[in-house]
Amino acid sequence: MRFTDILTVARREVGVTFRGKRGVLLASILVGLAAVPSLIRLMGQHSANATQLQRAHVAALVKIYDRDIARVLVDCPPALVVVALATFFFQPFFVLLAGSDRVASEIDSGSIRYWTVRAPRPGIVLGKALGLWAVVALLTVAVQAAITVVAVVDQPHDWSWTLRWAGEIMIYSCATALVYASLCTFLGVLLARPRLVFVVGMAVVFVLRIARTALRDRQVDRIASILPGSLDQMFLTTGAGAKLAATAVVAGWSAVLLLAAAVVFQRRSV
Amino acid sequence: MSVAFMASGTDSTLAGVTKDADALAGARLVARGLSRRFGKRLAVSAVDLTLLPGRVVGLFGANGAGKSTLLALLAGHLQPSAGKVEWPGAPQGGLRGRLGMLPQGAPLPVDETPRRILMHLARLQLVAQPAAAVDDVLDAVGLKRVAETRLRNLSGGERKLIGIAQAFLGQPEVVLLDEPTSALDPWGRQRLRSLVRGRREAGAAIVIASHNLAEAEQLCDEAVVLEAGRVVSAGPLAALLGPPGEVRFELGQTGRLPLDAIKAALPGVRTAVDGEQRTLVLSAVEPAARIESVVQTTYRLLGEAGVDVRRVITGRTLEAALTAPASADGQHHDGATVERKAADPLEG
Repeated sequence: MRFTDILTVARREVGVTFRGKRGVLLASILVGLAAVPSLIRLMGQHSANATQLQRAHVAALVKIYDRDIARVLVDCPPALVVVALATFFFQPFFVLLAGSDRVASEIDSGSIRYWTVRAPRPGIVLGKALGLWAVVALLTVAVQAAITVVAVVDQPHDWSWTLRWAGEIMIYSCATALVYASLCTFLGVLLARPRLVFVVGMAVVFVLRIARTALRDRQVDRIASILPGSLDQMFLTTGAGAKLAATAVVAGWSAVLLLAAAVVFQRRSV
Repeated sequence: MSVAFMASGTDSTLAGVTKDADALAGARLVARGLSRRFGKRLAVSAVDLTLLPGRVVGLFGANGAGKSTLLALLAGHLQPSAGKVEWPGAPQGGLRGRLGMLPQGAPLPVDETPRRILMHLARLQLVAQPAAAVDDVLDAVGLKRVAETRLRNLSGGERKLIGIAQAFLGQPEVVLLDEPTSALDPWGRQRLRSLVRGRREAGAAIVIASHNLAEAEQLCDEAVVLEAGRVVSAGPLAALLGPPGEVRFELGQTGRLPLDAIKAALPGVRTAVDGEQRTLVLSAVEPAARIESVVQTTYRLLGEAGVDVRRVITGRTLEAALTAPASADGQHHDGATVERKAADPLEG
């Protein structure tokens, strides 16, 4: 396997997505989602109850995360808080939507055979995962950049503060996307049926969320923190230690899932 | 050196079989004891295969005989239940660019254009000059004019030709073609023939699994016949076809067939007529040199009886050879030996 195999496959994955109808559909969904925080921000700005909205905003953050993270996020431009929450919540589903048929449909239809006679299988599967990650990361960053522009225009005197937050959120989003892209690729290789990948993937994401909530309620934060569903919490926690731990979790889960995908793909019939 | 195939466990029973070490030394691909099971069904059973350079092997058999499974095993798409495939002379894991494959029923991505998908495959295959290689194969299949048209807008035959083009991309040493002629028009078949002959002359080993026996007859040097996953016959195609001891007259408007006169004029020759009296078959015409006089005599006698002859076919067709029933002693009626193997090589 050569690194160029991975890049060649990934480059095609990105190209195919943005050339086809799927790319247009995904971009449309994201633009739609991007409009939401902007609208909320505008509503808040022109509302007589701006103070009440601010309180509701803080209460929601406390409920979603905890008091410490809420305190951190209150410092973040509101439009970016909304986009960050939306990204962390919807990203796993978005990855499944974008990638559930990437490997699975090609194995299902037999098209993958055109690839496997030409390059080592691990290179193909890693390229597919990298391509999916690149697609999701590009679209996510594009939407976040658009909202950042809105936020900067909204509060031009705080532009450096807005950009710092935007940069952080983009990095966290891209990191969590890598884990879900790896999960989606692994399920694709394992199940080889696009719809099954989507359904099982959704189920896995829900189970991870439920597990995270249950473990947090039982104060078993250490175990909860190694689940992919807790990555946003770890990244948003202040301190280099938490961010380093989050990075380690991203690297660990991605490596395990991609290795498993490569091993399964190497052994399976296509 | 002309042998491309040998059946498992046999020393010399099959026509054209060899275990000559010199012959095997130049082999492009060697498969040993290849078997594949799907559940309880044994799709391919203990096949030994040696592909030599510059030879075209036809893989024949009824539906479900195991042709596509065997090709998939050779290409590494399927893991064998037993046995292995070796690539002599290739570095460990260095098969890139050595194999071209047209899988059956696997669609190319329809949102891509031929040029884009072929460029991608060429890059993946590490072809030295991908653009030139793509131009070459597009030219060879006559589809340069649609190189920038999405596959979804091409006809079934054109898509098939793109599939064939990718199999020959980068001039691989071994080319495996699964039903390459289906959906092809006569011009497409001609292009396929040209590609196959070109690669054969360049020293590639080519395997063609096909139900189009007339086409295969024109392309193949060797024939391998599979039955329920087992090789039942293998060797030079000429040996499978047997001596041209058969003449077939296809008849139009028939008067009364002068069978007695024909028998009297051609002693030793057997005659057979189909139920509708549309085909007259003369067999056991030996020696082969006698065929011309037999044809002339029969043609004259039929004409005198007012029987219209539409076509005369001399020699056996591949279809006739393959569909000939085997007798209980394992002999096809043309004398080609059929090997009867143990039922299941995976069961010890």
